[in-house]
Amino acid sequence: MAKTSDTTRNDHEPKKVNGLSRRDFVRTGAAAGLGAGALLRPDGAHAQGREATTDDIVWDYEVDVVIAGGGCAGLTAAIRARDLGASVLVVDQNFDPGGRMLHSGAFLSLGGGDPVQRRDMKGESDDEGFITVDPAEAPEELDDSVDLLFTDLTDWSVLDTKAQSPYRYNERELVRAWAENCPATRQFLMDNYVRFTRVNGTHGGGGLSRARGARCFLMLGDKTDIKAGTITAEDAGVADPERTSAFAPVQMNDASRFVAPNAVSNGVALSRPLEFSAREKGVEFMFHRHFDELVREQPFSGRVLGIRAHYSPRHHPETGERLESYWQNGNVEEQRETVSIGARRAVILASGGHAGNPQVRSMFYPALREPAFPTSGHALQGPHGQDASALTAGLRVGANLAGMQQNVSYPTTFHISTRLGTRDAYTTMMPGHPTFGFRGSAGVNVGSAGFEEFIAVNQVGKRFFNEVRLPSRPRGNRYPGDGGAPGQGLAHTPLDWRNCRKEWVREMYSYDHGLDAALAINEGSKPPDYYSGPLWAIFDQDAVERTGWELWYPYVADNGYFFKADTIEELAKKIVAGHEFQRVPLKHLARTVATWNGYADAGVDPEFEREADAPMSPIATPPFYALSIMVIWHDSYGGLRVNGRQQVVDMQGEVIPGLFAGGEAVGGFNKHGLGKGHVHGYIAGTHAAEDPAI
Amino acid sequence: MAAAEELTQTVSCRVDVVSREVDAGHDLTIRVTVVVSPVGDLRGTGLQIEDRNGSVVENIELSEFDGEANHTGDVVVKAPRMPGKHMWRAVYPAPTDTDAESSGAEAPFSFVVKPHATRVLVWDVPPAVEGGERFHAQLGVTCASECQTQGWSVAVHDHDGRPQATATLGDAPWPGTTALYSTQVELTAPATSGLYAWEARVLAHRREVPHADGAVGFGVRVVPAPACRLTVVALDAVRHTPVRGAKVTVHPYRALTDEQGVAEIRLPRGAYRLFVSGQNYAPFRHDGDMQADVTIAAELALDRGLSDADIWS
Repeated sequence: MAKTSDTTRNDHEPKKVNGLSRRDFVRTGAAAGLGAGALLRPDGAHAQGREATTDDIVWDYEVDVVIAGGGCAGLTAAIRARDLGASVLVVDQNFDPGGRMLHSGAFLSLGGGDPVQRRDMKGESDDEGFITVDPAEAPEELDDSVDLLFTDLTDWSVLDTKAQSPYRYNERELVRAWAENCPATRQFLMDNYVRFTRVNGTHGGGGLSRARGARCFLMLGDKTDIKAGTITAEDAGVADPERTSAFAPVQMNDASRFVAPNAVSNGVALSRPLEFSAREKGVEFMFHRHFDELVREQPFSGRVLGIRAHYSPRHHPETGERLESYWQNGNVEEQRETVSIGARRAVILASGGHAGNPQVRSMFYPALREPAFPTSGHALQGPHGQDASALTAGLRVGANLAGMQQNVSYPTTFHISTRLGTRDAYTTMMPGHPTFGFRGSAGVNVGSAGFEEFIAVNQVGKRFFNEVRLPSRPRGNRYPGDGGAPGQGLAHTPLDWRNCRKEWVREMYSYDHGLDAALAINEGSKPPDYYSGPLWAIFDQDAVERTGWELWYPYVADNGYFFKADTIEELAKKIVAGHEFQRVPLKHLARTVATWNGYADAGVDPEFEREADAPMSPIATPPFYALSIMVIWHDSYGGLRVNGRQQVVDMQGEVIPGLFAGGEAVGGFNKHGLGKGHVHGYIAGTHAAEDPAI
Repeated sequence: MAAAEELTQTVSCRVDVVSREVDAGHDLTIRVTVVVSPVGDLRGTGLQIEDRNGSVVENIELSEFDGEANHTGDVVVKAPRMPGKHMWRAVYPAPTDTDAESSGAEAPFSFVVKPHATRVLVWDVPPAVEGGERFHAQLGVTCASECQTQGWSVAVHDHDGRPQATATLGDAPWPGTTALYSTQVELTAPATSGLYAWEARVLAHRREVPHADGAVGFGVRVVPAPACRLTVVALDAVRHTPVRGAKVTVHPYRALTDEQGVAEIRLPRGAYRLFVSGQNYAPFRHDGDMQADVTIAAELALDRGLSDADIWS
């Protein structure tokens, strides 16, 4: 990769005078020994200051493949393209790679007869012999094929328990390519130090007919050694229940059930091995740099030539020092405000979706323009995470969109978390990772059962729904088909009209609209946005003594998401004074609590019929408490339209040359999570590296 | 030779009161602005805040000059303890150390002093008592302006307004609170079944700072004498082990299970709805008709928490 110093840039000016076209100029560079695959160093030793056809472009760096975003799609694409000989630069807005993958559960649903399905069908262990437990699924539940996978994921007949159709709107070419590449991607990941547990079930959107999902694991050991597949308890965040590590932002889970004793699992066992492999193979990373825009030959025509990205440093919330990636090899240090990076072969957009951008996501659900509710992994990813950068940039060069309606047809895209008292309510992060300070508290996971212990109120202090039904979530568009299909598991018959017979849908429909009530306009909602405001769990000391909730640091903190007071009136005042999104007084709170205590005494809740579901306890014993309740928008399912090669397609149906995209940046595929992103990355990396160089 | 022009300075003064309502004896925040013509930088010169009797409450100083006007910034003065509307004034005295002729200026301003809000709380009232039964409840009082309420007298009045008990608040705040002082009172339930609206009031307190009268209503539910015993054995549905500390609720009756997972509730005859829940278990519900002693084994399903796969199904 080349960093163009001022000197070298002068050496190659002016391009307009000598009349070199961009292609001419590349050929000149190649003649000088700078062919595809050569990584030109940022010290300028091989710098190639030069212009594109648009004469004013001077590249600060240049590589074969530029990837915006180092998450599941981006890292996979980077390794794949590098394997095929391309020089690769990953640009990421964060200080460490991994994106959502790093804080995920690492449950990877692929299939089509992939290597771990075949391994488990035979009852074999993994190559390293870590797995000692028997397969979790019967062989017939693993007997899969690409055709069956494709059929499952385009099955028009399936409705879920929210009466949504998860599969019928999927882009067929995209899904076919995905299905065909699932087995190869599973093998590819395994070839890059990723270890998979036994297969068990599937992830949402992964089909109803077969078990296709496996988690990623590492083994606890004396040393963290990616090649050996081991990790220390300290690095895994399991040595201390209240501490994690810089290596693992989220404490790893016990995976012994699907591997063997001392196996641990989560996104760390997926993200860190891929990052390790990428760095080992020579992929380079430029962190603290937000992808802003694409450079195309003409605004809406011609080839995509590169990107522009601006410096977006993240600093430690306590020390103020710039955060640095866990591993450093392969990092490109660059602090200029904006740099232009040329891509000789391709740009791959893998910078995530739009769940972190309330303005964009509000096109699907206007109530979620409310900025009080972030996307998942807010602390880890920072303010630019999932900010629709790929969508924005793609639209500016004429890209088409796909599957935008699928944002709201995935049953649990947004949900109410059972973790209270923290803004970052999706994950279990503990102190020990440098971004913990951005959330300030781990939160208290009260479980679904815990919702009977409090009343939930909106920003004006009024109850809005039956509390115990708030955390319930619709299910049913995945194997074993325990809600969205007649019968169970293998009894599902693909493409059978009876799957969506209205009588059956009426029977299986199961959606509580508590989340929608939580987001409703209330007295405190003001135009033009009518924000619904924050939500609060209100309870008393008796509830604390009944439950043993951990109302101490690091679970809660003085960070505006937990309050304690002698009286309800004082509690309301503290919330107003201390919470960043509490815009109005909770003027009804005292009255609401008094009314509730009457309901609890009588055993009847005339407003929301709580008495049908759970007991009601008065809120009377001081002190009194408030914990934030968070609505989380997790995924994006709508995005840029791509074809089966992950090439971005424009509004006329034409491929935009040199531009690929994957993961949450793309739409038209209503499948949750990692399985989608990794295969997209694999396909994009393959074709990007094969794209003709310019 | 022309006569020397006489220099005349015009001064005006304005007071902004940040909050027109303030608790007795608490901080009152004001901002004073002084404008002179021709424009002048008066930083460092003083003003007085005077009460309605002309007594100086505070000496303050102009500290900011924005090129047109002079300001004090936020100035905090102590509000009087007497509730009601107060009219004070800011006085900018005529300068004596310049050649200019100036008369100084003054600006009246008003604010309302409120007595301190008092919160009365009642808790630990048994959810159900039998007619004529003696029972205990906890009474507490806190001042919204954080006055200490220990030693205050409180009283409980029944549904007919008759005093049922008086007591004095203790010397230590209730555990976990910063300034909620409390006492326990013993009360006698009415003889007849029903829900009675009683009231707890602050009777007397130290009067150096005025406090609003404090009172709160609470319910006393009188139930018929029980006829049957409902015994609940709470068990983990998978392990079949006793669940200690589970909530057993038959509104309004409540109990917690013991070490053996057992709780007893004595009920009158008739239809009932039982919930057994808590301790991370999903609620167990049973509807029945109580005609004789009954033992119910409540098999509780653990709220196992949602796996990643559950969440993203």
